[in-house]
Formats: sequence, C-alpha cells, structure tokens
Amino acid sequence: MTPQLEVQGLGRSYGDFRAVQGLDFTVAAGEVLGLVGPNGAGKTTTLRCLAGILPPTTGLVRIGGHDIQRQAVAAKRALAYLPDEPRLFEYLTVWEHLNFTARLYQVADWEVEGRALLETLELSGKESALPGELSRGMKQKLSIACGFLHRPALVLLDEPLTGLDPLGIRRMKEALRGRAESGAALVLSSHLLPLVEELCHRVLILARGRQVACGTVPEIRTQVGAKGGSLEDLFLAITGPDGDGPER
Amino acid sequence: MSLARAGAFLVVASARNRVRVAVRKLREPRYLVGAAAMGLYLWSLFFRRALSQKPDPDLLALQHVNGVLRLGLVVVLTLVGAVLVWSAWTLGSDRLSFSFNEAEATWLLSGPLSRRGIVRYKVGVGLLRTLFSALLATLIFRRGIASATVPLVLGTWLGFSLLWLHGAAASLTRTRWKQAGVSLSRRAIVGTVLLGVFLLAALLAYREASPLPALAGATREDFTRDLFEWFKALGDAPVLRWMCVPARAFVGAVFAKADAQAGQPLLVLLLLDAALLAWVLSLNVPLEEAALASAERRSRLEARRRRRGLPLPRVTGTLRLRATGAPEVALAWKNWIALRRVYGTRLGLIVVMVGLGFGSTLWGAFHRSSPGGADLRLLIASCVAGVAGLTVLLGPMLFRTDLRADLRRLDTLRTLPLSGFQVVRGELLAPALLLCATQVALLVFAFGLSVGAGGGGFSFAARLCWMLGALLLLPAATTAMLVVQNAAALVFPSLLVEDEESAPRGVEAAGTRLLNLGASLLLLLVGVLPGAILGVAVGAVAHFLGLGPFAYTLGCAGAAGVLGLEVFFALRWMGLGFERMDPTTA
Repeated sequence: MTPQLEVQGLGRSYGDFRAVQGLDFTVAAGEVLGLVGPNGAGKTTTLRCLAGILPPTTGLVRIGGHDIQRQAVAAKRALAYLPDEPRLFEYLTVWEHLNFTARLYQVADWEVEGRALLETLELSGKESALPGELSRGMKQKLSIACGFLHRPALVLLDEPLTGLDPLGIRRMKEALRGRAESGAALVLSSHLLPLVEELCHRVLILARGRQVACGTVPEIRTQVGAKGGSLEDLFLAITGPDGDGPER
Repeated sequence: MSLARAGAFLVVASARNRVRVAVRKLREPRYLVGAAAMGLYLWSLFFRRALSQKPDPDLLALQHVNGVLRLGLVVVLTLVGAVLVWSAWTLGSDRLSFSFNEAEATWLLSGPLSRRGIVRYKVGVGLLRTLFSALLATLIFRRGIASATVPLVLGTWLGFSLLWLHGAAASLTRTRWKQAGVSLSRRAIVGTVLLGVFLLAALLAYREASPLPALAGATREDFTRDLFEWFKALGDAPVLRWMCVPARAFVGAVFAKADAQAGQPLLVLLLLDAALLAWVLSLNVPLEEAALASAERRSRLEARRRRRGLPLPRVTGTLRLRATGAPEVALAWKNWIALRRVYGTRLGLIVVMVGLGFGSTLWGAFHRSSPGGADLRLLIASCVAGVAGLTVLLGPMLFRTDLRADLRRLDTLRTLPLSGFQVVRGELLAPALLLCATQVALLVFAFGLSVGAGGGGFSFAARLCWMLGALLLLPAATTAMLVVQNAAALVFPSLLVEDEESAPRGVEAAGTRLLNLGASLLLLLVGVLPGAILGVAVGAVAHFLGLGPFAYTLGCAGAAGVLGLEVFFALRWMGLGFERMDPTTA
C-alpha cells in the first residue's frame, strides 16, 4: 500500500546550524504517528518541512505520492496543517473562514460538513464572530474545523491540545481517532507523552534534530533494551536528563 | 537590592538591551541602509541646524527681542498652565497619569513592594523621560533660542517636570477620591473652585491695572506701547504676580543669556518641583486596580496600533462565496471582506462623493443655460479627473489589504493548495478592482460634468477620446503601483509587512519605509517609461495619419498594453519569489 506520507533523508539547516537531519519514515493511511522530543529537538521544523512551509535543505517529502517541492499544489490539496498557535484572518468570521477554506479546497458540500464540525467542536452559535472575539481555545477549534473541512488525507498537528478545556481535549481526541479510522494519516507533535501513547500507533523520537527512535512503544523498548516502562520512561532514558539524546 | 537599585537596574538594562538589539540589527545591510537614510533625513530636518555653529539668519534669537515677547510668553504660558491645571483636576476619567505595561503590572503589584515604592519607581521613570524630552527639545530648538545651553536644558527639564508632577499628583488624588467614594459632583466642585480662583484673580488684576488703552485716535506705535504697559501692569498686579511665578521662572531660565542669570529662576523651578515631588510621594493611594486597568488599556491601545488605529470592525451581513471555481478567488473574496470591514467608512465616503457627483452631473445636464454654472462644472470636472490621477499614487498606499497584510501569515499562505502565481494574483485582485472601479467612476463622472459644462476649448470628441485614454491608462498604472508596493513587501518582508506584533520599529525601520516609498516611485517611473515611449510613438503615428484626438486614445492604449504586459510578468516573477521565500529569513 502507498504510504500517505513518505519522508526520505529529510534535513533542514539554518545557516551552519542543522535543525533536522537524516529523517526517514513513512505514515500509512489510518495511522497516527507521534512526534516527540525535548525543546529545540526539531519537531516544529520537521512539521513545517512536511507542510511545505520550509523547503528542506536535503531529502524528499511525498504526500499521497506527490513531491511537496515539485508538485506542491497537488500535495497540499491532500494536507492539513494545524500549527500550535492558530493563525486566522482577523477580518473573517467563523463561518467565512469555513467558506474561504471550501473555495480553496473546492468542497462542494461544505455547509453540511461545516455545521457538523462546528457542532462537534462546540462552536455553534459563533458563526458571526470574528477571531478577535474568540478565546484562544475557540480559535484553536476554528483552526481545527478549517483543517478538517476538506477531509485531508494527511493531517499535521503541532501541539493540538494547547488551549483546549477538558471537554475540548476529549472531543479532540475522539475527532483525531475518527479521522484516522476514516483513513487519514496523522502526524502529531506533543509534549504530552500520555496523550501520544494513548493516541498514536507509532512514535518517532527526535533529539538534537536527529531521529533517535521510531516504532511502536514495544518496538522502542526493544530498541533501547528496556524491559518495561511508559513512553515517558523510555523518552527520558533515550533523550537523557539534559535532552541531548545519544549520538547515532 | 533596594527598590531604587532594582528600578534603576530595570531601566538601565532595558535601555542597554534595546540599544544592543538595534545595533545588532544594523549588521544586516538592509537595516543599515534604512538607518542611514533615516539618519540623513533627521539630520537635514532637525539636527543640521541645531548642531551647526554658524548663526542662522532665519531663526529668531529671543533675547534680542524687546520685553513684549517675553511678557507675552509669560502670559501665554500662565494661561496654558492654568488650563492644564484645571483640566487635570476636572476633565477625563479618574485614572493614573502614568501608565503601566502588563509586565510592570504583574511584577510590581505581585512583588514585595509598598504602594509608595511603586509610585517612587514610576515617578523616577517619568522624570527620566521628561529629561529625555527636554534634551531632544533643546537639541531641536537650541539655535532658535540661542540661550546658554545648561540653563536651557535644566530649565526645560524642570518646566516639563513641573507639569508632569502636577499631572501625577492630580491623577493620584483623583484615584484616591474615586476609591474613597467621593462623588463626581464633589470632585467637579474642586474644578469649579479652581476655575473660579483663576477668573477672580484675573478680574481683580484687571481692576487694579490701568484702563485698557483706547484704539481710537492712537497711532499704531502708541497703541502697541500702551498695550505693552497695560499687560506689564496686569502681570505685575499682586494678585496675578504669584500665579505667573512658574512661567516667569521658566522663561527666565530658558532665555538666560549667561549661566549666572539663570540661577534664581532655576532655584524657583527647583523649589516648585521639589514641593510637587514631596506631595506626590506623600500620597498613599491604593493604585492596584488603577494599575491593572492602565495595563489593560495600554495593551488594548497596542493592539489597536497594530491595526493602524482601527477599531474592531462591526460584522454586518456576509458575502457568500461559491465553493467551486478558481481557488485563488477565495483570497480576493477574503481581501474584499477585509477592505469593507477595515476601510468601510472611507469606502462609504467615496461612494457618497461619487453619488453626489453623478447627482450634480444630472442636475447640471438640466441646467445648462447658466454660464457661471458651466464654468464651475468644468472646474469640478478637472478636479475630479485630478483625483482619479492621484489615485494611481495614493490608492495603493491607502488600501493595503493585500499581500502586504498577509505576508505575516506566510505559514498559512504556504500551506494553501495554490501556486505562488495564484497567491499573488488572488491577493492583488481585490484592491486592484476596487481602485480601478473608483477611477472609472471618477473619470466617467468628470466626463459627464464636462459635457454638461460645454466650452473650454475642447470638442466633445476630444473630451471623449481623453476620457477613453485615461480609462485605459490609469487602471493599468494603478495596478502597476500595487504590484511595485507588494513586490517591495515580498523582497523586504521583515520591514514592510503590516501589523506584525513584532513589527520592526525605530530609525532603521522608518528609514527603510522612506526608501521603499522613494524606490516605489522610481520603479513606477522606470516601469512606465517603455509604455510611455511606445504610447507617444503610437500617438504620433496616429496623429500623423490624421486621426485627430483619437490619436491620444491610441497612444494611451499602447502605453496601457505595455504596462499590462509588465504587470503580468512582474506577477509571474513575484509568484516564483513567493514560492522560494524562506519564512525563517523573512
């Protein structure tokens, strides 16, 4: 089966500083990959390269078989990127954001889908509100609704639960599971390791821009030679107390 | 560490780091060039004269002027001071005159500091700021005053401080009254009493002074002399004398010819400042609530500044967009909504003006018999056509809801399923359509007026050809100007992109904007040149072929065609630039 996301030798440098180097992994349809690592490990840079925001210095990223650099438009049609800080247009209302997204991604039945998403994300009744009138959590939910509207084959989420209330977190988790079950591939970056362990089929651990472990939690246990422990224990064992991570 | 030392550390470290960041930014050539440009601009505008040692014949050395000017200054300053004192106690809401930012509100209010300690810190910072303002004012106006430098600086600082300290004392007292539940009417009584005291003093002085000199039968010189004497007598009246003390001391210090002359005036100002300072520091005001309100207000103002002074728009109705079709239209639709919500009032005014214009055109068409009305209509037609021409330059600067506003969301734009060319095209479509439609409306209106006016030495056919030519040329030139402005933002995003929270400020950013304006005009001229050459050539050939005024239309069509081609290729180039743009270096 063709993976929804294929990453080969991905690297990104800022001048002499190598933020990310030598990443190789794939994500299949219906699979959830967790991207974890200490602060400054290169998670956001990786996600921004996958989303086509940052051009990689080396390597290749394919989304649904389309090269994100050479076939950018086709690749981006299959993609939704939800950054940690919702970036909305301050003069468009909630409903206009959905209308805008529908035209960009040519979603003919967007109104039905849009209403359902607003209902799920508890934004019903806020259709005429501008982003400036929404709380941070609501902005995050609107960003998620726009991201899900065109039923993307690949969803990239950077700290998706930031700013959400407990009910919002529960609904978000259900929504993410639902997306995966309906065949979307998900890559989510988070510091909430129990959440990653609960939601993700596989985990990729980054340290100092390098891929230090990748696989299911039992596979990572085998890789590091641990007999038990949670993802948090494994994470700390791999990255070390200083977050440096072992050299590969 | 004592509070004074902690406060001084905060001020010094913040200032040092601000300078350090500014210097570090100058390592980048674009900031360096911007700083140099702005530095030269400021130098030529203010400091060249201020720092020059040569006497400036254009400026007035006030100490050489007779006493009328000094006396006038004392009276005017006293009046201004009286108004400021009265307004500080009476007008506006009861809030602190010194503002807190959010960091100060958080750290100072939650820190182990007394209220008096916090006030001491804010007063210290306020007095430092007045010193900075005094230094700047002195530097700018020094040559116009030609006084001894040290008394000038000290006098200006002490004078500014007097007003600042009084404002602080009044605001602290009003805050305390408000929290103590003193009613608004009782506070208004204080203002009324103050005003009454001022008026009573002025009335008593007026009665004590000799009668106002009569104008009838007096020569101008006699009347001026008598008026000066009368003012002098008025100012010397015992009841007003004490009220003029601060203004006299300020003028005495600032216009002292030598340091020795300034001793007494400076001493008076210092004593007044010390008295006010003691009063401010003695006030123990529960300022927590007011400080938090101040921090919130400042944060709101900051957010509003980022929106260029515009309030949050009111959402009234929505314009539905079909979900299928060219996807880049979504960007144009979004920008049109933003234009309506951001510039709704300005757009409304334009519509009203154009509507009035069309109305008066129709009215003019039914009243052609009046020759005076015809001249007026011709004049208005010329003005309207001129406004249409000015829109080429001013329109793209006024309506900035395009790539310039959206580049700060580069991450979002980069994830859209659009090519760079589509993004650029979609972003520019709405402002281009708006400006071009405005120009078409203005030109048609001007033409309609001129038809109603008749005469003017041009035939109907000639006017029609002129209008058709302008209808082709102006929209093309406006679109070219929009492209130039957006291309500049694409090349220098960190300097020219609008409304960014971390938008660069300071001399270097202002200088780069100045350069951008100059470069935009230059680029527009360069861009227009090939079109102008072709247009002139086509027009000349058509004229030679005997096409009469239609030669002008053809010439404009040729020029507009070349401009259109240039715009198309520029958009292609910008599209490629957008795709290659690296958000981390932007």
